[in-house]
This record gives sequence, C-alpha cells and structure tokens, in this order.
Amino acid sequence: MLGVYEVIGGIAVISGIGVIMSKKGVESVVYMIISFVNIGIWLMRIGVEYVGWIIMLVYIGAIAVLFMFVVMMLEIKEEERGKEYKGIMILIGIGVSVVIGGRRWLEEGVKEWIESKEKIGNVMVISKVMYGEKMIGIMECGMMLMLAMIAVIMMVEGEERKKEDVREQELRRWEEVIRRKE
Amino acid sequence: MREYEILMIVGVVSMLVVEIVWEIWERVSKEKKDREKESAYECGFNPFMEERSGYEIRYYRVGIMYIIMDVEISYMYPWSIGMGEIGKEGMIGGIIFMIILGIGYIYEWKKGGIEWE
Repeated sequence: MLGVYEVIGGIAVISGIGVIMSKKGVESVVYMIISFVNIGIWLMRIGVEYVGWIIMLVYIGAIAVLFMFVVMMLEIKEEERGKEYKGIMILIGIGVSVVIGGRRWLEEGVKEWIESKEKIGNVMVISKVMYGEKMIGIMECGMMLMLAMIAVIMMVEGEERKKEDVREQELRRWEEVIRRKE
Repeated sequence: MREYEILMIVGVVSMLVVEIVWEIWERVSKEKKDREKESAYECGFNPFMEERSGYEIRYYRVGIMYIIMDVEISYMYPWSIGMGEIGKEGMIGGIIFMIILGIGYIYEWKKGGIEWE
C-alpha cells in the first residue's frame, strides 16, 4: 500500500524527468510546475510547512511564470535532441540523487530540528537558525540578491531614449522654431 | 497534518471539476479545423510572415524585480516572527540584510529601473 510520501515523491521525480524529456518548451514548464507543487506538498507533509508554502509562492508564483513568459515570448522551437544521450543523462541524474540523498550527515541536523520544531513551531526554528548560527548565509543571500538586481539593470539597460521635457515643449513658441520661407 | 485534509479535499475536488468540464467540452464540441481558419488575417492576402510582435524587455525586468522582492520578504518573515528569540545580534543581522538590499534598490532607482517608459 503506497503512502502519501511515495506517491507525491514519485510524481515529483516523474515530472522532473518530464521536464528534460519533453520537446516543447511549454510542456517542460508545466512539468516543472507539477514537480514544484509536489515538492511543496511533500515538505508540508513532513512538517516544514513554511518552506513548502514559500516554494509554492516563489517558485510557482514567480519563477515558473517567468519561465513561461520567456518560452512564449521568445518562440523557442521544438528541439531535435540526440537520442544517444538520453539514457546516460538519466543515469547520471539518478546517480547524483542517490549520492546526495544517501548522505548520513543530513539526518543528524534534521533530527534535532524536528524535535525542537514540535515545541516552538517551524517558523521559529527557521528564524533561530537563520538569524542565529547561520547568519553568514543570510548575508551571502543578501549579496547575491543585490548582485542579481544590479545585473538585471545592467543587462536590460539599452540606449537612452530621448525624452521631451513637457514644460519646455508647452512653452516653446512656433515662431522661434519655424522660419517661414519668404 | 489534519488541518491540511480540507485543503487536500478542496484541491482534489477542484481538479475533478476541471477534468469533468474538459471532458464534456471534448465530447460535445464540434471542431472543423481549416487552413484558412487557422491562418492569420492580413486583409485577404496570404500571411507574409509569422505574427509575433517585438519582445518587450520591460515585462521581464518587472518579473525579475518581483522575484527578488518576494525572496526578500520570505527571509524577513521568520525574522519578524522570531524577533523575541533571536536577540540583538539577530535583529542587527536582519537590518544589515535589508541595508544590503536597499543599496541595490537605490542603484535600481537611480538607473531608472523602476520607470516604465
């Protein structure tokens, strides 16, 4: 009998594979949204509700919308991928996820976290960790976000458009500008 | 977990409703696709090229700025909730985080990134 964990996790993995295997860009984005939804539900199921909701808000509400925007506006054509690489890429992906998922050191921190979460709630635990012992991570995130803002402005900045000053335009008299041919 | 049962029921029911409506539409609608119907209208002539207009980068910029501010809010919410527990160091850390992002906002403001035109 499959539990909720297995079904949700399975759907997330399958839709993750669907992201890379589908030929159309829009289908990839839809699979990505399904994957994020399932990951958010999974995180809520294990008790990390705040991170689950934030994943839904930020990833689905903003990042997936941005992906969809790019795919639709840029007219990305269907790709003809080389079939010989598909199997190898799937194997590499499974291998990496097994190596990362099987690491024992992740469990120790998680147990302590789960025990304290029951008493004070998961948002309080997150704030104590984020703004306590791991504050350097917050500073690094702030620097990265600032870098992202500056990079976007630098990339998007194009030629400066000529802007008319409205007051000057209204005060200008046509006799000063146009000379009649006599 | 019990408080999310209702949410799950709502989600499943809404998906079912969408699925039922889609199936009804598929069975009942009569669709006769024609080459003329699918093509773009160009005053009676055959279309010269695809109808996509130019790409407006302003929308993408707004989207990126929204993501950055959303992530900032997601960091500030635990800070505000745990203000009593994190102490003076935590509060100052959060303020420094906001100052770092404020520098980015000032740069964006001065460079005209907030202007629509």
